[in-house]
Amino acid sequence: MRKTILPRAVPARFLVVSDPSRSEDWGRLTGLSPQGALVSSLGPFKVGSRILLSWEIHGQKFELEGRVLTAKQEISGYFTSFIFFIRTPDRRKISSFLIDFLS
Amino acid sequence: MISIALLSSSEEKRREISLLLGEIGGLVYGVDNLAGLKEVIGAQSPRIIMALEENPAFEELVREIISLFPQTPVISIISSRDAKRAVKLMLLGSEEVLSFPLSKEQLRAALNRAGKLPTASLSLVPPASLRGLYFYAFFFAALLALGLTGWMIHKHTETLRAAELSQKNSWALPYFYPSALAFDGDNAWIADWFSQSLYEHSTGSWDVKRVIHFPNEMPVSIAITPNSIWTVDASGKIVRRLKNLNLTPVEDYDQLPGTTAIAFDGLYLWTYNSASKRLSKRLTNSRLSEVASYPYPGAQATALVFIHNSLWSLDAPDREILLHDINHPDQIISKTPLPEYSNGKYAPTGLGFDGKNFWTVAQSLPAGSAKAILFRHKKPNPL
Repeated sequence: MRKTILPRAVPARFLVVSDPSRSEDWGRLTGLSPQGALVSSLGPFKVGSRILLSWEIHGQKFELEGRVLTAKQEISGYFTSFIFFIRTPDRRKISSFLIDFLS
Repeated sequence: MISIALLSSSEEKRREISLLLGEIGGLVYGVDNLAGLKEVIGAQSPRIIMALEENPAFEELVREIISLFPQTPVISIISSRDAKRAVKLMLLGSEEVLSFPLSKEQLRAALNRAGKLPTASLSLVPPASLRGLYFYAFFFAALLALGLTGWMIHKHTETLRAAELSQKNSWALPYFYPSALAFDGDNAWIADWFSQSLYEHSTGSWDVKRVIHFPNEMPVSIAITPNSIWTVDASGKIVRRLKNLNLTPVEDYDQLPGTTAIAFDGLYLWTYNSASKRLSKRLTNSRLSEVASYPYPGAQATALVFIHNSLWSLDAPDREILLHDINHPDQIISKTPLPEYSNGKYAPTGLGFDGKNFWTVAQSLPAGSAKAILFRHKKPNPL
């Protein structure tokens, strides 16, 4: 199996590393792959900003740094952003997690 | 209109939030405790429950609300921004967590999505939206690569053209009867006997820079020295000229009938007599006194060239460049054939050396049937 759908988007915290004046935000992961995470939040992120993402799935905690690749506001008013994982070890970590999780 | 059950023990907070929700189209049922919430839900079936944090046991309250009304989305409102607590509340079951100060935009978004919480897709391949992005990234990368390739092809073509140009070995000249060729630095001089003129060309483009007409002479050979240009007329008259604008004659020498080629070795003037087929080494005095004479070892010389201390001649009938033994010019050291003339369309009439290559100028066969042509030849051995 290469893909699975969780019934509820995963709660997550987002710290904008490139903007220390901004306090830690929260939202949900609506997509996760070794390349990055799709996140939904009430607050917007600037494309190119560096984000530290923290979340937990099935008891496994993750804290990875990524860069906002795309950001757009949905009709609902929520912002959807794709955060690209910067470091190769992080991508490997997510990849091995997903392989275990999806198998 | 969205109906909302708002749980807060503070009447002031309830009023404040109710006003905001009312502005965005919410119908608020305010309650101050869990019992009131049960009553409102039983009677009004609100679509959303909003619970305000007012004491440290807020998480317990949220957990209880969710267990009591699992079908109704719960939005928690915390008193201060705290991402850890917000995530904890979401993990307990809150669909959304808001914090003070509340904004209408955030409230509207949260109400819009209440009951429609998105799912999470976990996949080894990127999310669909990113795949689209990848597609565009790939598309633009491909476009860029295509552009780059096109540019490289363009540059390569230009290089090839430049190489082709540099490999070009023949040039048509704007006259028909060339008789002699000589190089002078970046310029070349070509004599045309029919138009009785000397043409000065720039060696890069071979454009004509100037034309000097000799109304009383028919030049058949030229030799260039640092300060002078020597010309030979068809009658055999040799003239030394200044290298000025009009190539002003400075000295006329005795006629040497039959002379068709001359060259200057730095000290002596060498001439070739086509009637006697002899090479002569001469002083540059007024009589051009002959110092030595040698039979020409080839068929017929049409041009002589000195390169350093070596004498070369253009043997027109045999289409060859001959290198002579300078101590015994009647002996040939080497012969360099000129395959450019193998088709018989042209006859070589002049020979020159530009420091790198031999060049010959030729008239068409039959004479005057086509424009004159200039050939660049490979450097012959042993140069």
